[in-house]
Amino acid sequence: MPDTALELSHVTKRFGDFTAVRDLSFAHAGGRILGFLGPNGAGKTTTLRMMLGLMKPDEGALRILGQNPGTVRDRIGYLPEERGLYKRMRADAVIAYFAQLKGLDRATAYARAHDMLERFGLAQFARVRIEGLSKGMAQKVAFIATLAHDPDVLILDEPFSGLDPLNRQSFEGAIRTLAREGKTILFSTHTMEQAERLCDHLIILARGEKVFDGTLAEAHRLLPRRARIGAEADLGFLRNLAGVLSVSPPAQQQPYWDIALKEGADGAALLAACFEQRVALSHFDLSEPSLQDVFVSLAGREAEHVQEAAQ
Amino acid sequence: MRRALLVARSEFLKYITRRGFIISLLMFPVWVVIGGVVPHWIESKTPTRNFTVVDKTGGHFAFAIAKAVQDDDEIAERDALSSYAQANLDMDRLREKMPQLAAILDAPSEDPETLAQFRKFGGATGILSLTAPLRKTRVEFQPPRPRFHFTPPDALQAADEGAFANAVNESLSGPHALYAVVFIPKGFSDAKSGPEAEFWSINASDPELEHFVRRALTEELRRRVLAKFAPDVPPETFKPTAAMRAFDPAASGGNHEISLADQARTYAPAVLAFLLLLTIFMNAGALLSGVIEEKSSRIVEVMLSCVTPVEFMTGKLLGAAAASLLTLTLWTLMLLIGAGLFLPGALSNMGGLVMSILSTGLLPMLLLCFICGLLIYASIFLAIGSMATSIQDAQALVGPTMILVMAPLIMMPALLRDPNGAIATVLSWIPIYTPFFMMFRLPWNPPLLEVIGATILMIATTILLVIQMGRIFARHVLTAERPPRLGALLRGTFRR
Repeated sequence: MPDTALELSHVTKRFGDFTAVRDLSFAHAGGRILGFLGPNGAGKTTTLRMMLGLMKPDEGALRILGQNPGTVRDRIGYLPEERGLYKRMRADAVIAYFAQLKGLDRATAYARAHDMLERFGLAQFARVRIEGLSKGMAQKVAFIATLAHDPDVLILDEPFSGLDPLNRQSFEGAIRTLAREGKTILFSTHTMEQAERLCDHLIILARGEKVFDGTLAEAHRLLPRRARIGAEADLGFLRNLAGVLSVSPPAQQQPYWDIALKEGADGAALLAACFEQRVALSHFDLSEPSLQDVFVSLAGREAEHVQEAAQ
Repeated sequence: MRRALLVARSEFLKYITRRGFIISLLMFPVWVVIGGVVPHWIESKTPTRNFTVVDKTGGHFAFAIAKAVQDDDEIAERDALSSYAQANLDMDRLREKMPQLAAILDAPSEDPETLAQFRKFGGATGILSLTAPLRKTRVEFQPPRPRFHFTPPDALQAADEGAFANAVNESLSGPHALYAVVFIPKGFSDAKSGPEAEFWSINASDPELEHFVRRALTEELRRRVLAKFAPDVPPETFKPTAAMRAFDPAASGGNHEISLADQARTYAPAVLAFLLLLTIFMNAGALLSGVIEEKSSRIVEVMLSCVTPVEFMTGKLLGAAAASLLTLTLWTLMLLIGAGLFLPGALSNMGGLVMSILSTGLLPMLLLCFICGLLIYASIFLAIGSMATSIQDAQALVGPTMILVMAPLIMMPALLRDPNGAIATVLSWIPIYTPFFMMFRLPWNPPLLEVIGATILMIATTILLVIQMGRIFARHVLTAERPPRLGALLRGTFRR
């Protein structure tokens, strides 16, 4: 497998006057998990479709495993958000059907289907029609159908939507295992906690443009660390401390003082300053910005641009 | 191609396991049975219609009508006996041992000479007792119910002119009401200025008896005219029947006489053309709803991540074509099995007919036309399905398309009258109709050049349409927009 499994170079896709994806470039190394994040209408699905070879870009180029998407179809597994299964087919038949379309012979496809259904605890539902399965079971079957032909690249569009916490956990475990086995995984999601838990690499899109490309640590560094301090006294004196960016007093729905810190600033200095001033503290919380904060900050900035443009 | 065949197999299995497919499959034989049996059943259940004739001319016309009723009964009885004999008697041995009786049973309906012979042998009862040793089955002969019954006029004959309408009204109502009253006025004749006969009935929606009486009176008037000009000639000799047999130089028999098999060969392609439209009508809904379901559940994205749009559409077309061919085969088998179970005598005839159709050199060409027609129409419906986002959208597009596809049905009578005429020739060159009209015309030996040209056109149209509709399919199957306008669609279709 080449070092770079997914590579997009200045990709643009338009639908009439509307530009769905604009000048998108990124590269993703093989054997790692890429989180593809963005609000609705950010261009995620269009990008995924171009990676699958379902659409051609108007400008730019895509390389999957070093080749054009259409030529490596059999080495890609795709799971769409709405499961994409024929409701009237039986579980083993639908898995075997997609595996055959990806190049396996009939006997191997059925053997693989039964083996994987067994591994995912669905052996007794092998001959049940999809319409007779619960949502979680059907999602598992769809996941198995994506994997049955042993692809090198997995593209998962909102794989966790509609799953209960237990099933979500088991899916996360399966995705981690696949990554350990050397599969390249791209998944789009709205759930930031999952992206934080799973991804080695993150791309955030907004209005068809890339607004972030990096690791989780790099994403965290985009926003300052924050301390939240509960106190009756005025903490305005903290503005004079080195490493403090801003100090905001409590407000509605925000009962604590909010102190933004520069990168590398020492949070313990805040505590020491408060003790020195004999301030009685009811709460102290020093935390990294969450991916949710980063996402809202980046996507929100784009939303503001949209509003400004509209005005 | 392997992937297209996998899609075709899956589509085929999807079609044939639909409830709708099974229902449609069973509906056709049910429809054939209803079409074939119900009219006879209704006729057998129709009560005998009692009527009377008030004849003020002295009774000659009433007598003529009564005689016509008697003839009608005997004709119906002879016809029923003939059908019974074909299915239940060893006709070959009968022809050998009792040729006179066989001739009565083999003759066409309403032949006066046959009727005279039928009477001579004692009607159905006499012939049945003579032919009893040749019976093959235990089925008993059921004589048909008479259509009409002549009742003497009694009181009505005596009613004077002023009270006649009231008397008729009474006769036509009540538990023993007459079906109709015929009044023959004094001086009724063939003279243009003379009084007219009257037909009184409260069943105006059923003209059968009125037509029967009119025919009987006309016959009597004709007999009188002939008697006036040739009084010495017995009247029955003035009812000659022209014996005629049909021949065709292309007929299969040694003497070129047109047989049942020849007729089957002529009409089977027309039936096949009709079935082509019927299977298209059956499959259009399944094709459309299948694509719309695939779009709405995003199965289409998974499919297109596995196969190309051309492979996907080709597979779908092949699946639909295979399901249609299976339908056709099963319908034929059902008809044969049905005939075998319920009409044992007819089975050997039908088997012979099927074999004669299969043995004809037209079969490969007919199948080619059938498959091209299926692919052309199915690709149109698939493209429509790919453009629609809901069944409602699809229906808006299907309505006009269905009218276009079904248009050949309107032309069928004109084509039957003149299969190689100008209309038929022009229609055969309209690309989307070529398969249908060529199937229809093939038994009438259209010019060879026309057949070759139309075949090339048909194959080229099929390939072009499948490719262009595949292009529309690929362009629209992933969009959730409303169907494009016609102009934009045509530009999109033919733009590279």
